[in-house]
Amino acid sequence: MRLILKNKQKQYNILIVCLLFFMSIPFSFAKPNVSKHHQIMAGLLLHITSFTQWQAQENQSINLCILGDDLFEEYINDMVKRRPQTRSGKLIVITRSQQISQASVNTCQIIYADPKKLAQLWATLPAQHNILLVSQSKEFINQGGMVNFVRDNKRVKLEVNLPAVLDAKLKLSSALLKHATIISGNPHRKISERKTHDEN
Amino acid sequence: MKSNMSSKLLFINLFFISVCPFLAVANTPSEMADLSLQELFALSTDDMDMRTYEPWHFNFLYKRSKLDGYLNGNDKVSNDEVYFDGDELRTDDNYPILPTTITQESYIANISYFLAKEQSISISLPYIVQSTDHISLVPDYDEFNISSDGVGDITVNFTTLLNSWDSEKLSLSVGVSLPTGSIDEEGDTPRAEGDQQLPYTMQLGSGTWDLPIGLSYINDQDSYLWGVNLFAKIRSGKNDRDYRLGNRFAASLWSKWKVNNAFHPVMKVVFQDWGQIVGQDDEITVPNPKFPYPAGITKPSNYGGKKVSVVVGADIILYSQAFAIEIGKPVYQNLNGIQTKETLNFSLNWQNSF
Repeated sequence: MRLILKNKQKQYNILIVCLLFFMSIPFSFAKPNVSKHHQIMAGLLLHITSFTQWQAQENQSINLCILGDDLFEEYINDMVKRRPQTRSGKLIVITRSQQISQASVNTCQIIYADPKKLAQLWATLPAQHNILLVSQSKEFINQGGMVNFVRDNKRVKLEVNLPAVLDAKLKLSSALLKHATIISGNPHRKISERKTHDEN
Repeated sequence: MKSNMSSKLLFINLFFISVCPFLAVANTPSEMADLSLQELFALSTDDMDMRTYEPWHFNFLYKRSKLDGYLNGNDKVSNDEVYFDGDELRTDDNYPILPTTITQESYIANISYFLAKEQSISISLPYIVQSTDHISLVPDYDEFNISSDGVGDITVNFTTLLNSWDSEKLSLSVGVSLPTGSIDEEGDTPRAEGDQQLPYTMQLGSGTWDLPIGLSYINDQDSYLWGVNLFAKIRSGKNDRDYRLGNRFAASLWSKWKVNNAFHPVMKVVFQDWGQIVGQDDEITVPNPKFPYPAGITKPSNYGGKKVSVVVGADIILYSQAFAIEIGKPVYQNLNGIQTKETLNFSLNWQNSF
């Protein structure tokens, strides 16, 4: 009998701990597990919206599309809450997707592509577009990418494929370019990639 | 005693609940949004450590391990071989009381305060729940269970970064384990009527001031991390019951894959070596000069050994909460004397910073 009572008391103790623990979870606001490099990249991405000029100036917003795994999580959303507009007053809108279609691609002014989704990006992108393509991959510039984030020890640097930027009729501010390494990648590589994909 | 324990648990939880609302005021994304382009390019991850490290870290760890079946060295022996049923010859290797299954659970609240970048002090408050099923030769005790629960030994640790390279870190942790866990737990055993002193496995603390020390190496690559942890717990002196638990050493090699932001599978190989009990608690022996130990767990030389475990698990972000779950299984055990063997262990950790 005493053992039964002891066990019951123990169960009550455990129940109290579990109950209070789970009750406490809704009160807590854990910060997202975004790497420090990605926190810097998120900051740079938002600045890039202000230092890029698109052909169509009438848009009231800049749609930043994140394709694939989103390593910025809520962090970039919180930054946008703080700075919701570009320097020219356009609203920054962030959309996320695992898939991109030819219909949806033209709604984006900037695409940040997860390196694992680059093949899908090249297969979907039309031959002529006015979208700034950003990623973080060693092959990105060679494939026709425009702005590549490079982890340089403990800092983040930019590589810019200027021919690809100009080919897409985009302009990047000199204030941004002076911090970047300018690389003359192949602006048309993406088209040949797309053709190869279509043939397959 | 029980209501006292409940009050302590209640206090820990209420403290936790009360501090949680302050987690919401962290404003790192806002700070980052205010940086200029030039400042962002100049910013290093080290600077961010300086800027944004959170002073308070909170962990809640649940651990459970189960011991079932017997080993003599690394040879498996059956319960029948270890149990003295009265019909066979009594030897040093069989006992009239046989623990069949031992279950040990720990609920550990750990609070760390970062004094500076990569330098912290932490305090761990364990609450231990343990239970052992027995069979015995003693009438009315042919099958019985003994349990104990309460606060274990509180540990205070100081951790500091020794050196860091591009993607590598080497940290040292030193501390002290306070003898706050009871070594006077009692229960109804077949030794006599009423409650008596319980064996070493059922006590909640070591009863001695112990010195935990650890060395941790982490190598952080783009898509995975790996590391090595070395740990030792050195016991000092003897406790009030004239014994001390064996020193404990552990080494682990681990790897963690960054599959995505929310899921990092982990694999570990852990080697542990721990010593026999030095001295003896005379209260748990019986007045039989030839066979003073009624059960294997009352004999000090039946403690310690070597063990290699394989652990698999994952770090998981769920509803914006960071969890780590691990399941370990020993693949090699070489135990001193005759001991129950560990079959499985499980741990669940929840972490937050503010």
